[in-house]
Amino acid sequence: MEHLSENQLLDVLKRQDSKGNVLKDHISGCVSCKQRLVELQETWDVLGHWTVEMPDIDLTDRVLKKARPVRTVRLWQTQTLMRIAASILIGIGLGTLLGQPMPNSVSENQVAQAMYLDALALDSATGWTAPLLSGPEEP
Amino acid sequence: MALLELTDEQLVIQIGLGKMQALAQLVKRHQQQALSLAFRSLHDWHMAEDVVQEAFLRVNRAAPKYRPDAKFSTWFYRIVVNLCMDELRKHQRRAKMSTEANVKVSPAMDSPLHQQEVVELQQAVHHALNQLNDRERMAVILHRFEGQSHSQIADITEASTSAVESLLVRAYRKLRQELASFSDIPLEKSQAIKRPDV
Repeated sequence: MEHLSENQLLDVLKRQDSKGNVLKDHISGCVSCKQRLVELQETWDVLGHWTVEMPDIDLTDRVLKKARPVRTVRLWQTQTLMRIAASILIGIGLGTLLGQPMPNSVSENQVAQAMYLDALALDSATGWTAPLLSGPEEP
Repeated sequence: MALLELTDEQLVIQIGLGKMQALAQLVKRHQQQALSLAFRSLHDWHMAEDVVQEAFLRVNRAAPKYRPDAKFSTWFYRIVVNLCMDELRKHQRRAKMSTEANVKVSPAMDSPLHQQEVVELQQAVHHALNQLNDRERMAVILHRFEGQSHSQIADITEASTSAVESLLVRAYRKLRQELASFSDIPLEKSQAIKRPDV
């Protein structure tokens, strides 16, 4: 068996070696790996001197004071919001169309011309309405 | 079902439904471990408290979208670690801890070490950890002090397992060099860093 990697030695230290006794058997028979494990163990133990005494504090109130209840938007709320938004958009569109002012500069004649009603006028070339509009002829 | 009986993942779902008592329960369950991790990273209790508080607030905000695919503790650790890393970057703190303010040694009557030796030893550990870069130090903290496995550290730090293993090997080598002169001191469990009285 090859020498153990440092990660395998770390696993042995933390007793997380999945291969169980295989690694330990190797270490017990391998001077080099045994020495490396001892060195690693020493470092591991020295680090263990850094213990932290936990403070007697409770963050619960602090967190709850700053946290706001999360409101979940449900499907019906989304649909309602969409409907309201659509109604507003349609309202704005219609309002814009209906609110457009008529141009003041268009005269009645221009309107009549546009609708070909000028042909019916008395002074038109055809004068079709003249007999109707003029009064009865005097004897 | 009582909140006490719910799993962490179920509590987060309850938080997503607006139940603040579920958040309170989650804080009570995880604050100590989170504070320990944050303090070891930042070397400042007040910063650690702020970081942990912010981590819980983020859990609260993210709760409605939470999908319990991963373990809550992994997700939560990730938030705490990221906040710590941000804080370290922000302040450009290379773990310069004010030992006088943060280290108080509880003298142990049966300890073979004198108080001064204990302080020196802890300072040496701090100094050695400060020689590591932020990622190496975080990997060691999670591995040595928080008991996380290589794959768990990979999940928390969003790195590959092989990258984490390389980090750890490099970090422990540096630490071994730094702490070589202290390696024959027996481990005592009675000395601890306390939070300074405010």
